[in-house]
Amino acid sequence: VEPFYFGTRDQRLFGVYHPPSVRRSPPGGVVLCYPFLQEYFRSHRAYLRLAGLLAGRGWHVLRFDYSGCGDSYGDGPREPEAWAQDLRLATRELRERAGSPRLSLIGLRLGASLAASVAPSLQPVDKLALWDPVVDGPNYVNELVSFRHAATLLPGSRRKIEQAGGNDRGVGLDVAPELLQSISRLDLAEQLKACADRILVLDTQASHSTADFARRLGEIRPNVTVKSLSEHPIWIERKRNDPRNIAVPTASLQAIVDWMSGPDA
Amino acid sequence: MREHAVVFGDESPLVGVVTEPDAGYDGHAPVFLFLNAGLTHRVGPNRLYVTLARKLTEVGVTSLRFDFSGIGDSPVSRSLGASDERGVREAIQAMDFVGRSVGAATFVPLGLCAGADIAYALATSDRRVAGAVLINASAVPSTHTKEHSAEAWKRAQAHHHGSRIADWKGWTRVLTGRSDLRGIFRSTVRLTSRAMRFDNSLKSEADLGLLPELERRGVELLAVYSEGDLGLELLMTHVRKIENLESLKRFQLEIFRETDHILTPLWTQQRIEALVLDWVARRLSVHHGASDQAVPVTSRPHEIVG
Repeated sequence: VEPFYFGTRDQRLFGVYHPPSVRRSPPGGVVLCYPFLQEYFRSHRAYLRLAGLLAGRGWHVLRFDYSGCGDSYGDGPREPEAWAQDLRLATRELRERAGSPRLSLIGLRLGASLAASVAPSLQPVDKLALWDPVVDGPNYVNELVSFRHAATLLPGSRRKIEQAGGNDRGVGLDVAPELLQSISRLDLAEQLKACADRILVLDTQASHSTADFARRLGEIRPNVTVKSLSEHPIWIERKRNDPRNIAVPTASLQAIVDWMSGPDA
Repeated sequence: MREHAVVFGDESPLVGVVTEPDAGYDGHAPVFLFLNAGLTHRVGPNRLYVTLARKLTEVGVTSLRFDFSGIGDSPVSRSLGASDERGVREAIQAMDFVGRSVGAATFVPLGLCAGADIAYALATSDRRVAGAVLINASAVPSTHTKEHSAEAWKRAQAHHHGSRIADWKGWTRVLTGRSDLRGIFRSTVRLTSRAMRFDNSLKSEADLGLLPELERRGVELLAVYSEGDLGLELLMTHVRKIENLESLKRFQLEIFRETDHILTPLWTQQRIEALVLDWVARRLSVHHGASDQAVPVTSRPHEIVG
């Protein structure tokens, strides 16, 4: 892997480039879009594995941290438009490295929603894989703010945080209210009418809202593949003594890689 | 402040980020090493390590945060050995790398949870360590036997159970019939019994472990615990009472109330930032602009600069 910084001098984004380990024709690049807040931390290793699998199938792969996240510049997620700009920068960087305009995007949770919302401005986009996308913005924000999400993310922590009166937006990270407002206005389906040649919706949580979203998407555009499987969400920590406590959701990763490398790839 | 990505390591590639002041390494201050908190990659829980690394540049301190093999962006190592032993070896490789790159001679490892244990082990084994920041460590004051760990775990459970009894929301659930009363009764009997057996098994004398030796070597230690954390229970198992630590002038103990193991509330993160900066200034004599002999960074072997 090749870790590096890119972007402007004052706004440097951290990325990791995975060059292809086999030749693939035609060459193409895939940008992986991380999820948000605590989900980002928990999905990091899975993304590393996913990038390695895709590189093994001949893809140029770039993982990167949004501004205010991970190793990138900034103090915390603040500007709603900034992440979209970050993704545009990342795709430009990957297209240069790959030497090819062919581009695909994969996103998990809010990363999927971000990829979907930015994809129309990145044309052409070959494939767009939406892994358990956040399709119900208000509900997602409510989960963050109300601690319901935190209670599952950080076992044992909720009571202590509540006692401390620390109803932190974003749980442990300082998130601007404008960003939450922006998320709560999400309406993905309309944006996806003509943003990529092919779309995968991967639902691992038997989510009604994801199923509704996928059905609506299938009604308004062609080439939508819906894949459902059951796997523990990687963004929720298992109990330490749970023998099924795995850090990487292999079935989900394999489903994405198979779709990316399918006969229509 | 400037940052660049690096890859180093003798046994397998280790991925990290160097954060340094605009003027570069000042030639004097110890370099901070941020060590993985459990399986969380090098940015730290809630991005704490990134924030701290950038704050430290304001007082002229350079740092390296990196991933141990098998964590974050670093691939799994083929070398043998327990993970904590491998962690110490890889932290030594990190010091060697920074030493070669910028000429740093002294270091301050900082870790949370498992990272704190490795930081402490590093402090006890490598003379280049001038100080260490240990957040919710479980290996202080010494490497514990399994017996001690089991005892302290019981004590931590008993402490946790006591706080649950005082939780009015819990009683609300009991009174409204939403709790499993039979389960609560069984749990109460079991934990009370454990706590009583534990108290009877405690040694009477204090055991400061390796702390006096580190004191003689001049190693500064900042130990931070969340109240009720297992690591604190383990420490108290050995030292018996906090007053027994007063003879150690280089050991600073801070206990944060009403926070969790990974310091999730924002106020806790802000407090530890201030605490570390204050400790650096007072204990390590690092002040912004302390040196005008900035060392330009010209050579960084084995690294990829982004």
